[in-house]
Amino acid sequence: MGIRGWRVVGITILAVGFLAVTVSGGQAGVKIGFSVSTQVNPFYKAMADGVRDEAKAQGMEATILNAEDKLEKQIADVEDLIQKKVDVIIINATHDGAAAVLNKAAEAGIPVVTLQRAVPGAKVTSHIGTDNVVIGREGAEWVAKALGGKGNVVVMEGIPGAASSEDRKKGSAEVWPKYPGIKIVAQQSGKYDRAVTLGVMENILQAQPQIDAVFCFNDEMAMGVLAAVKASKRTGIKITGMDANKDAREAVSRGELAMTIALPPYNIGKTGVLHAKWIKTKEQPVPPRTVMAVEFITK
Amino acid sequence: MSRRLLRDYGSLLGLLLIGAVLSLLSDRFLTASNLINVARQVSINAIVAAGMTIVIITGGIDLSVGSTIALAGCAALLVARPAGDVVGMLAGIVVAAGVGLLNGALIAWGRVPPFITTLATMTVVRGVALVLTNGEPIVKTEGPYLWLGQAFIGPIPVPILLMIATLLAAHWFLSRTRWGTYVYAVGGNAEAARLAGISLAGIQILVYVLGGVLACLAGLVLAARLSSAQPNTGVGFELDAIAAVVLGGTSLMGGEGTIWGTVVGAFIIGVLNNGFNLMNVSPFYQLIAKGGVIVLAVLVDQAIKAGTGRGGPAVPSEDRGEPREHSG
Repeated sequence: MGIRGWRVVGITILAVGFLAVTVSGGQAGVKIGFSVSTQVNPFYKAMADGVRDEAKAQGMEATILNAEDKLEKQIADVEDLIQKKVDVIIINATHDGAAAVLNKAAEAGIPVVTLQRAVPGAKVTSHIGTDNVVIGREGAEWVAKALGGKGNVVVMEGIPGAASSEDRKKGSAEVWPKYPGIKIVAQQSGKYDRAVTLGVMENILQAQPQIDAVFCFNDEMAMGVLAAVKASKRTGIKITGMDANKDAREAVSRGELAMTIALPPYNIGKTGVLHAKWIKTKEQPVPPRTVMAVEFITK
Repeated sequence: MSRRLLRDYGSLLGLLLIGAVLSLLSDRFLTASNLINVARQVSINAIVAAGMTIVIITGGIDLSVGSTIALAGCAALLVARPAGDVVGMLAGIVVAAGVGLLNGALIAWGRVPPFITTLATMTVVRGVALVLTNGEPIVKTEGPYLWLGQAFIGPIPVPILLMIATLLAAHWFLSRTRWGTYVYAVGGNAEAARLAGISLAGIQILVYVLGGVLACLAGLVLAARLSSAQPNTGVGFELDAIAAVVLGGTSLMGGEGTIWGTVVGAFIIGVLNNGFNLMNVSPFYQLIAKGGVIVLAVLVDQAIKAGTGRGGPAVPSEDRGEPREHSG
């Protein structure tokens, strides 16, 4: 047999093998249900896409339900999934209040995988997500290093009390004391909103004659800060965001924003499906907690 | 006489008091550039609040304006991209007037209470904005529309001039036109107004359309300031507008109120926000302080009105028609 012949055999084996895996996946018939908090935010849309695509790739049946940001709807959705007797429930919770219904699922013998938002008090087999404390810490480190450890920094927090904002604040607050040359001249809330942040940043610009960097807890606020800084005609201010939204990425590539942090919602969704599969097939051990890496986008 | 002065200028006194305290606490507060900055920030809320004042005088309320700001801005920029800025702006106005028309029609003909109607359209309009844009911001960094938010005439930013023009027009509408008289009459006593031959439905539809169109103007200024429109923006703006109206002494029961008072109310909110940022007050404490000041201001206003014999039910005829020396 020539090289060509071996290649045919090789491809055939691969194809049969692939088919076998797919079919066995189908036969194993792992049925998953995914309850996602919302679909109006691109982040959660990408997460649901990741779940849908990976389930398809694994030949698994996936029921995806959108809670429309309402805890009551999410509870009803999860109850439906329990009734439907899915094998694993994957949930991106709207609220800690989902704990009770998740425990009901666990009692019914259905393992639970949480995505991005951990649910304290729920029996969860696997949690996958980014850690906002880590993001806050790494983002602040990036800013401090970009300034060479010296300069006046404005911190723009999200919605006061929101878990993501408070965690990012906590992580960043660990960093600043390590850099005695860094001075936090203002720490205010732009409520994750571009329009609100515009006004807040304008006021801070009035109060602070020297600002070297603005560290924002999301991209919408970074874009609001950018509008305020542009209007003030001040230059030399490094503005950073988080989320890597489309227009923020474009602003980074134009050099208007210094950096944004890309979170991997699509991969969080895909990993959730893989873990759900492994819980059932036991082909790989499932870690109880998986922190997904983030990516710094600077050009 | 001094009591009357206190009654008319009570909220202005409050504003001056807050301003005095802030200028003691921060040397950056009382500078020309900061005062222009505050006025430019206030302009958006003041434009929305002018419409809200007229709606509230009829005894109504419009919770949908925050969503309308988002929808009108997004619609305008979506249309402006292919069709040009002028057509885009007109499209925004048409959409916003449409929302107002829907509100007015449901309230006037459907007999659905204004609170319920606009609570419902608030979410519907937000949904439409998200569907139209697929949840993404509409970015437009060039075009004549930017003038609305970013240009200056002399040293004065255009949004401030638009605010002044809007407030003068709204004041003129309420105090010098027949329609304005009807607005007070409907809010004071709808049944009496109807018997007097005033079209209740006509006035209700008119005020909600006005409220929608002014929300649109605010939305266009906001979009021009940000070089983009966000479907998620304007959340809670209706509450800031209502707070400005109430701080300005307009009764939520309807039948009385002035644009002048609302301007002062909007500036109280704007100056507070500015002061918190200048002094770097923790965002947690800001929430407490802002709510506290609003309650305090309304309590003081109530006490003054009670002292001058105006704490009772609204008197529709009192505030209309008569020229006021401090107008504008």
